[in-house]
Amino acid sequence: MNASICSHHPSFELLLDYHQGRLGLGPSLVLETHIGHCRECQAQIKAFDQVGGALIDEADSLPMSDQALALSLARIERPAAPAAVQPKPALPPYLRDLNLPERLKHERFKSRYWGAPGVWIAPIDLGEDVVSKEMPIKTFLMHVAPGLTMPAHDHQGLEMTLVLQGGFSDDAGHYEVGDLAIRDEGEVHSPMIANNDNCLSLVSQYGSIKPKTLLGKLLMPFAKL
Amino acid sequence: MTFDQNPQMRFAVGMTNTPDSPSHEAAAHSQAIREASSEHLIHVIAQQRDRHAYAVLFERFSGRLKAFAMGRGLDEQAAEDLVQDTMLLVWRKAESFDPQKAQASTWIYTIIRNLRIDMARKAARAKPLPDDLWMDNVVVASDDQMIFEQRATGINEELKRLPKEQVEVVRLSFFEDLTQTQIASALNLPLGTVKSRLRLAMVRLRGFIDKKAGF
Repeated sequence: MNASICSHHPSFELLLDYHQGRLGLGPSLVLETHIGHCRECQAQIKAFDQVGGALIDEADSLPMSDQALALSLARIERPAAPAAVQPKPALPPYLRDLNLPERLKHERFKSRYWGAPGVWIAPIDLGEDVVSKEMPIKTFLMHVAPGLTMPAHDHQGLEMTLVLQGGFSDDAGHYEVGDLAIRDEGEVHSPMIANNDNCLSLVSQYGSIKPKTLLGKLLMPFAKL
Repeated sequence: MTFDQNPQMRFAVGMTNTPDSPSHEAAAHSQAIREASSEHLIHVIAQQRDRHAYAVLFERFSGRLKAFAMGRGLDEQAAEDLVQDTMLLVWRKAESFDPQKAQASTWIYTIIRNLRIDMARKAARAKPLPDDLWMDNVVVASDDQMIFEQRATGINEELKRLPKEQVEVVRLSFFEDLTQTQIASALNLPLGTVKSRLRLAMVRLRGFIDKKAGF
């Protein structure tokens, strides 16, 4: 992924939710990966930070505890504890040739599985990531062979798809590398992979998809989406 | 009483060699630091590890950062902890602050914003953000002669010029951590009205920022 000009961006509201930490880990990962390569969204995030800074300047100061400054001065004298060395997980072999964005290279990938002929899925382990008790968040890489069409499906909740390689189309438009497709409950679509290349996407979804066709329903136990 | 009226504190931040009354030069220097821009203070912290500059910066920001933290729903102790962690990072990462890229308050806001999110995630036992993700590792060229004008983009004034109802929505969203639905409920307004006020405010602020940057 290079810093190309994307056509499909997260909405301003979604970016603000991300900026304020209101999104789960999966959606945050997808947005960070997109933002890392999108000048427009970087500028928007920076604008949010400038607004935050201005609000800090305008805020009414609250009194700090009596010893606050003394405590702070003592803390800066202590040498920083060496950062706990967390071994970064190695990229599984099947991902090494895919030229993943930097942001994804040290994530923890679970074993990939075949969701359907021509489709493999590699879940990403982000720890506990939920919207609510009934709605876990699933985050994964999805790799689809050229020319395939996904069975039409609805969603239980938000679904974010960031194209890392290749492209696909659905009723809302054509998506290429760097573009972000966002779907919600009530929005049925049937993504069509472009003919000329494999399509690799980073996906984060709330809950499960709701297939509309028999084929889609039959594939559910394999797809595990 | 500000910290530099306390002889022990003056000694602690290196304003005097002995805990007695300061020399004339030291008094003049201390005046200069007290009146310096925040951007200059961070520069001095980065270049000289100047504790006096740090103390002034701490006094300038800590109370406002505490207001931000408590607006976020943290109790008083947790808010003070967050402020302490934030200012500690300001001290440690001062070298990475680039006044060409942002005002001091923008940079400090970014630090506290990310720390607060990390704090909430640790509390939920989720993975925090990788440390190097949000820290620009830009080293400012050392130049003792450099004088920093208040590099205000003027956004503070622009924020004040917004219609009151737009500022209110911006403040509730950024400072009070309310979603748009919650803001609508709190202000007894339709959700659409909240959305459009927030959008109008941000479009205007963003237009102002872009114009200043020469786009």
